[in-house]
Amino acid sequence: MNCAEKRQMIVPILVLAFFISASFLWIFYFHNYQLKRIIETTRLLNVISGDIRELNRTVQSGILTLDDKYAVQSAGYSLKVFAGLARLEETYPDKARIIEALHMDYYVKLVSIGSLFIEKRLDEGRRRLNEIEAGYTKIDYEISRLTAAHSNEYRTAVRNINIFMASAAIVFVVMVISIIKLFFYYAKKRREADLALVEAKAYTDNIILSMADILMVINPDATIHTVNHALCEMLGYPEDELTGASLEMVLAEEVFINGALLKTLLTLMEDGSIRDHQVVFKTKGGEKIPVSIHASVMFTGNGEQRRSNGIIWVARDLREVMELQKQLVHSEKMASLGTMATGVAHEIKNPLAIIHQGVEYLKPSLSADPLLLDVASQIKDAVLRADRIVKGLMVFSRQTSFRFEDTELTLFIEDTLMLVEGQLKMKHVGVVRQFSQGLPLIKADSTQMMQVFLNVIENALEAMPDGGTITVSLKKPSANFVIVSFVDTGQGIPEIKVLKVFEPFFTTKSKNAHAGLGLSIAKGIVDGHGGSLSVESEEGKGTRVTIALPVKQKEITDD
Amino acid sequence: MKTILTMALSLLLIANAVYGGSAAPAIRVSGASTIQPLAEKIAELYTRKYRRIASVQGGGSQAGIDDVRSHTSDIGMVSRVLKKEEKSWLNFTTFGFDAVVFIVNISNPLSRINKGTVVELFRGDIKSWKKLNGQDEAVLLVSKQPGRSTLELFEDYSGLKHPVGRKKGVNGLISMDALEIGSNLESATLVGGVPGAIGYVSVGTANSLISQGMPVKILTLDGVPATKENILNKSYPISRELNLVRPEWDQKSREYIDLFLGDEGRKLIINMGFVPNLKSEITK
Repeated sequence: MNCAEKRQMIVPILVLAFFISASFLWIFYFHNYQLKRIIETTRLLNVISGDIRELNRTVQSGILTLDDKYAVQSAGYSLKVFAGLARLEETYPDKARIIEALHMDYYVKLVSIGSLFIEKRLDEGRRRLNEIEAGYTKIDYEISRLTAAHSNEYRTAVRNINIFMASAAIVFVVMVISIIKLFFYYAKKRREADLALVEAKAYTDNIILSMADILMVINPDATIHTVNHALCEMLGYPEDELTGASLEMVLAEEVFINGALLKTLLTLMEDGSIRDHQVVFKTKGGEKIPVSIHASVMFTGNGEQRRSNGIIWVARDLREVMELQKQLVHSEKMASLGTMATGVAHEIKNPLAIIHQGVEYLKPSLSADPLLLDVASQIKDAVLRADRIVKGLMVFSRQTSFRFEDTELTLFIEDTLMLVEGQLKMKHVGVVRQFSQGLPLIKADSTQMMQVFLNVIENALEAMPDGGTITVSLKKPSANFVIVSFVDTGQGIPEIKVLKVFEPFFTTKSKNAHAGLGLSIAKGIVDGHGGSLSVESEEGKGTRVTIALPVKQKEITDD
Repeated sequence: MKTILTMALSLLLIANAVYGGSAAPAIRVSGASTIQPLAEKIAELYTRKYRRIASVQGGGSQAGIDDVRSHTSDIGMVSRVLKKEEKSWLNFTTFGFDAVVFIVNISNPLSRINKGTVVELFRGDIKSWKKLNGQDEAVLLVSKQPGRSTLELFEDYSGLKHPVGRKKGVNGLISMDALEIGSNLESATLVGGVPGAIGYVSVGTANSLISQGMPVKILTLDGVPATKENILNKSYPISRELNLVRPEWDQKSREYIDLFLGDEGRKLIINMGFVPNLKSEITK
C-alpha cells in the first residue's frame, strides 16, 4: 500500500481508535462511578434493612426485659442503622432523612419500653409495643419502597449500559468491517493497477511484436535487446535466440567491411536518425536479405543526464522491391525492343522487296540450269520467310487501335469454330461446348478477338497431332467478367516453359513454322480489351487457356 | 425404674427449692433504678442462701421511699443522700457510692466537658455538635424523668430545672426537646444507639455496660475523671450515696442488706461499677 492509501486508511483507524477509547473511558467511568454507586446503594439499603430487622428481632427477643445483653445489641444495631443512613444521604438525602427520623422515633420508643414493663405499667407498655410495631412497619415500608425504586434505577442503568455496549459493539464491528473492506479495496485497486500496467506493457509488446515492419532494438554494446515477430520470421531465429545475441549474428559480412557499419552508426549518433540506409541481413540458414533501415537513437533521462539507451531499427525487406525493379527494367527493355523491332522491320521491308523482285526477274534466266533454279528458289523461300518474320514483328509492335462493338460470345465462338472446321475434322479433334446461359454481351474488336481465339485453337490443334478434344466453355463468374476457356488434351507444356509462353519469339513448335509471337500478340489484344489471358498446363495431359473478358459496362480506353 | 423415679422426684424438689417462689416473695425491694441491677443480683444471692424470693422493682428513688412508707415494699433503694425529713423516720444503710457521669455516643470525639457546656447543651442553646467537636450531628439530650434521684443530682449540679411544674433553676430550665428516660440502662442504651446523643447516668451502670460493649464513653467532668478515688474523695463533682432504707430493720431485711455488705456483695458492688462503702454499718 502506498502513502496516499495509508493516509486514507489512517482516518477510519483513528476514528475507530478514538471511538474505542471513548467507549472504554465511558464504560470505565460509568461502571466505576455510576454503576458502582448504584450497586453500593442497593447493598447499603439491604444492609440498613437487615440491621433494622435485627434490631427489631432483638426487640422481640429480649429488650422487653431490657437485659444488658440485648440493650448493648440494640444500641449496636441502632448505630449501624444511623451509620448506614448517613451514607445513604449521599444518594438519597431526602429519603435518608425521613428514614432517620422514623428510626429515631422508633428507637426512642424502643428504649423506653423497658422501664414500662419493669415498672409494671403494662397497659402503657403494650401500647408502646404497638407503636413500636407500627414504627418498624413504617421504616420497613420506606426502605422497601426506596429499594424498589432504586432497583428500577439499577435496572434502567444496566439496561442503558447494555444498549450502549450493544450499539458500541455494532459500531465497532461496522468500523472494523469497513476498515477491512477498505484494506481489500486498496489491495484490489493495487492489483488492478498492476494488472493494467501489465496489460499496457503486454499491449505495447504486442504492437512491437505484431508490427508488419521489422523492428529491432539494439543495446549500446551492439547486442540485440528486442526483436519483433516479423524479424524472427524473416531471419528464421526464435525470439530467445535473438535477444541478447550480438549484432554480427544477423548481419551479412559485407556490412562490416571497411567499418561501414561503424560509420553509419556514428552518423546516426550525430543526427539522431538515418533513413533508407541499406544493410544486408543474414538468416539462420545463411540466406542474405537486403533491407532498408530507418534507424533512430533511443534516449533516456533529460537535460544533462540525457544519454543514449540504444538504437531502434525499423527495416523493410527490399527483395520484392528489387524484383519489381527488375521486372520494370525488363518491361522497359521489352518495350524498347518492340520499338526497335518495328523500326528494323520497316527498314528491312524494302531491301526484302528488292531481293524478292530481283529473284523473280532472274528466275527465267536461270531456267536452263536446274541447280541455279534451285538456288533461286531457296533465295525466294528465304526472302519469304524473312518477310513473314517482318510481318509478324510489325503485327507484334503495331499500335493497335481497337474498334469495339457489342459481341455475343456464343455466336462469336461458333463463327470461329466454323473457320477451323476443316482442320478439326482432318486432325480428328472433337469439340465439346460448355456454354452457360444468359451471358451478357461483351465489347470486343471482333477481328482481333477472332485472331486470339484462332491462335489458341491453333496451338491446341498442334498439341494434339493424333487427335483429341477441345473443350470450350463460357462462364459468367462475376457481374463484371466472362470467362472463356479452351482445354485441350494435348501434350501439354513443361512447367518451366509455361512461364515463358507469353515471351515474344518463344515457341515450343519448330522455329521454321512459327515466329513464336502468337500468344504474346493474343495477350496484348486481350489486355487491350481490359481482360486477362492465362495458361495452365500439365505435361502429357493437356493445356488450359483461360481468357477473362469484361462485361460491356466497363469503360475500355483505347491505348 | 426406681432410679428414674428418684431422679424425677429430686429434680422436682430442687426445682421447688429454687423456684419455689410462685409463692409470694419474702422480700420486696423497689426504688432507684441505679441500684436495681445490683439489687437484682443480690436477690439471686438471697434466694440461693435463704431459699426465699426477693423481688426487685425500679421506679426511682422517690418511689422507693414511697413504697416503703406505704408498706408496698420492704426495702427502698435510694440513690441519694437522704433528706433530713426522711432520715427522721427511716433507717438507712449507705452501702456504696455512685457518681453521675455524662456519657456520649462512642462516635463523639469529645472526652471532657465542663459545667458551662453542660448547661448550654441541656438548656438547648447548642443544637449541633459542630462547634464543640466538628461533627455535623444534631444534639440529642437524654435526661431523666422526675422522681429519679439522678435527675435531682443533675438539677443540683447544672442549675437547670426540669421544665415541668417547677420554678426555674439558677441557670434556667432543661430543654423541652430533651428525651426523658426512666432507668439508667435506658439512658445508656439510647445514648449508645444514637450518634449525637448525650446523657447522664450512674457511673456504675455506665462502667458495667461499657464493659459489656455498650458503645458509649464517660466524659471527664470539669477536669476530674470519674475514677473510684475521685468519687470517694469527692473530688468528682457529682457523687452520691447509695442507700437502702426501711423504717425498721427486721430479720428478713437485715438478711438481705447484709448481703450487700458481705464479701460477695462487695464484689458485686465493684463489678457494678459502684464504690463500696467500707465503713458501712447498719445505722439506727
